[in-house]
Amino acid sequence: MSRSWAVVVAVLGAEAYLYWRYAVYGTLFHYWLHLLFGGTIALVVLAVLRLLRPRSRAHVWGWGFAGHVWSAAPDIAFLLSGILHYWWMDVFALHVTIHFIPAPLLTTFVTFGLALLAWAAATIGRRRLAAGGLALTVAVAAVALALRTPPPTTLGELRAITQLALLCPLAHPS
Amino acid sequence: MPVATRRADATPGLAEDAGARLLLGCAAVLLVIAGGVMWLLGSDGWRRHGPVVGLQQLDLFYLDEPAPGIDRLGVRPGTPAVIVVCRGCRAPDVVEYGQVVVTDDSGVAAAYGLLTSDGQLGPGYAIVDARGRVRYRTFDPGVSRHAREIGILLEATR
Repeated sequence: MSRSWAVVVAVLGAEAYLYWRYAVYGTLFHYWLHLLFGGTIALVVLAVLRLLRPRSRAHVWGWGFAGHVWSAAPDIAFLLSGILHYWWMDVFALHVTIHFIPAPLLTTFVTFGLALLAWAAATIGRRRLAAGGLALTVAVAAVALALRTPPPTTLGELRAITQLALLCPLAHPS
Repeated sequence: MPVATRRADATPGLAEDAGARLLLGCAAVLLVIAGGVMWLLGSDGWRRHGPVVGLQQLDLFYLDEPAPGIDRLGVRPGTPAVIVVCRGCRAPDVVEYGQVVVTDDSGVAAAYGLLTSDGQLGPGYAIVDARGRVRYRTFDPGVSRHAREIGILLEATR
């Protein structure tokens, strides 16, 4: 098996493990959200890299997985070390703020798709298409972030949203 | 024999057949992800709770205000507490981390925003720190099973 395929298999295995951990706690929303946004960032970086250095041999699966892990790092920290989430954890691919953009799963799916298109275009040498895809990706993400809703900060605000729930994404059952 | 046909704006890239395979692979990845997301959105849990639940699942101390009704609930100052709001649920085993109060008082549920629009009482809980300030509140259908999570939250208030 070539090195490339070994990377693909390793990444798929690790993703399956992460998916299972999130599924156990009923928090697959977060699995997809952080996969899609972390993947978006990784693909944007890779596409730019491809445009600047067309012969770059960076492996898209490895970078995509790294983007996912970076984005999900606060969840992993909670699972491994019992570290709560804090606002500064936005350094991990906007880990907290990304929850408050409009239609988070749909929006991040769109940015992921655009970034994937940009990377693929850069990889096959379609530079203009790649640049357009990158511009669209950044534009959609910027608009979504600009339209984010402010998170609740008081019980009064929570009372106004009667189905609001804030569960820990990766807590162990006792 | 040439293996690649390049466009005028192209940089060194892949052969056309390799490019086609690449695009097919990308389409397959998007299809798998779209399928997974659609499966999630169509699941019972998602339909039951609605998108707001999924959107707001964070374990972040986002509150910091005096906890309502703690005198009535018998919460002693100086020790963190978890106030569990539910009907007939088992208390999480977290006494080593702080006080545990279980109530089915609808007034308490309303005060903590744990009374749903259709009149359901929780299940959920609030974390109150040793100063008597509420730091966290969540609905949690599995509150009795999430002792480790609640323990971490209580520990973090110290």
